[in-house]
Amino acid sequence: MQDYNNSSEEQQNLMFHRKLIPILNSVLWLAALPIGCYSEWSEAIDEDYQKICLFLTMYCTFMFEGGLIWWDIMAINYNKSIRLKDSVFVRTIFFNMALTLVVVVLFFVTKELWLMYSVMVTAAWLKYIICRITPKLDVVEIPYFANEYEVKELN
Amino acid sequence: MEIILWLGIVLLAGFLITYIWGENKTRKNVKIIQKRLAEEMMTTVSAGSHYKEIPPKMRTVSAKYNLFKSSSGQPLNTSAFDSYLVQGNSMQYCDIHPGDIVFAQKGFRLSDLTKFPSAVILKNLKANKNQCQFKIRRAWTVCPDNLEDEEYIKILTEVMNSPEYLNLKDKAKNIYESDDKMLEGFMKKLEEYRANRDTESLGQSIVISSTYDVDNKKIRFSIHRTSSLMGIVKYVVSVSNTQAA
Repeated sequence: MQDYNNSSEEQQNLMFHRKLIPILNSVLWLAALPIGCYSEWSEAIDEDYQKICLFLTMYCTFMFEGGLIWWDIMAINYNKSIRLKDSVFVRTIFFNMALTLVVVVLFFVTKELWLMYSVMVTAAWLKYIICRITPKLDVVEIPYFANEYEVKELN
Repeated sequence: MEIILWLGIVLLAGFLITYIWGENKTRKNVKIIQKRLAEEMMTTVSAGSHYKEIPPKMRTVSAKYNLFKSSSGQPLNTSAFDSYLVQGNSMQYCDIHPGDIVFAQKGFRLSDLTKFPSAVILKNLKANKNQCQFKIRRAWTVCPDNLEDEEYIKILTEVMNSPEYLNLKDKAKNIYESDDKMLEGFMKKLEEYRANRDTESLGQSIVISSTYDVDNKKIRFSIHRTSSLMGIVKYVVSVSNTQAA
């Protein structure tokens, strides 16, 4: 017998985080657009503040990508009978790391906020479409345990 | 700087449209997907002689995506076991019934078979690829295949005096004939085994098992090569809703 660590209390906590994280990320992302636009438009603000604004914008767009994954998990599967398919989850992490690298390089090479912004959102969007039209790739489509059965030990 | 604003609006609107479309599509499919994943095509094992009528795999509940727990609530790590779907009624006196799933530890070695009686999985060497490939029997002992008749009778007499065998006799008292009939049946099987035995393999070990012949309503001993042993059944679970492939 294996000692699983899947008590309902822990699953409830996990579900809470799955709900909390996407909400926070979405709020941050919604804040990113006006912050980014204001910092670019306003000639009155000094350069340091502008950099902070750009950093915040970048951070929030990164968070948006992460938030999307969590939002996916939350939106469809709010009951505790769902688990992540590990291999897909690992692939998603690598995808995000690669995307982050591309965006950071783009930003430091071009210094163009709009380029970074469009790459982030387009990539997230594309990934979402791919996941949705090919359900087997989806990170959330695996039921944790559909039913429970009692086994009898022989001998 | 207007570009970023328009880009943002276009991308956000595009994303929202895709998201709503995707959600609607997924909601319709998610129950079907979950149901599909909760079932699997499982390898069948024949309890009895009707293996020709049983397909090699049948649909039943998934061993991976259902939780199998002991009576004390401990979950079973099913990935460490080979799972088989029982078809046939000949193991009923061992409390294994048609539609049950049996779990046999992976990586079986003959040295693991130390406790008797044990329900064992055997490769069915007679089955063709469209028939059930395995059979389940209750193993009572392992011994060499080159013993004299008297030695086999001595071994079986010991088996028939064991508390587990007496328990079987008690459970099956309505159909159990006699110990003599059991020995008589075994000697016939031994003759058949010796007639078909390859002389080069003389001295190899055999498993003596018992099975309930559903058609003739008799319990009989049978003989199997230990090389056909695939595993020892550790757990059994009763499930329902089994469908053929």
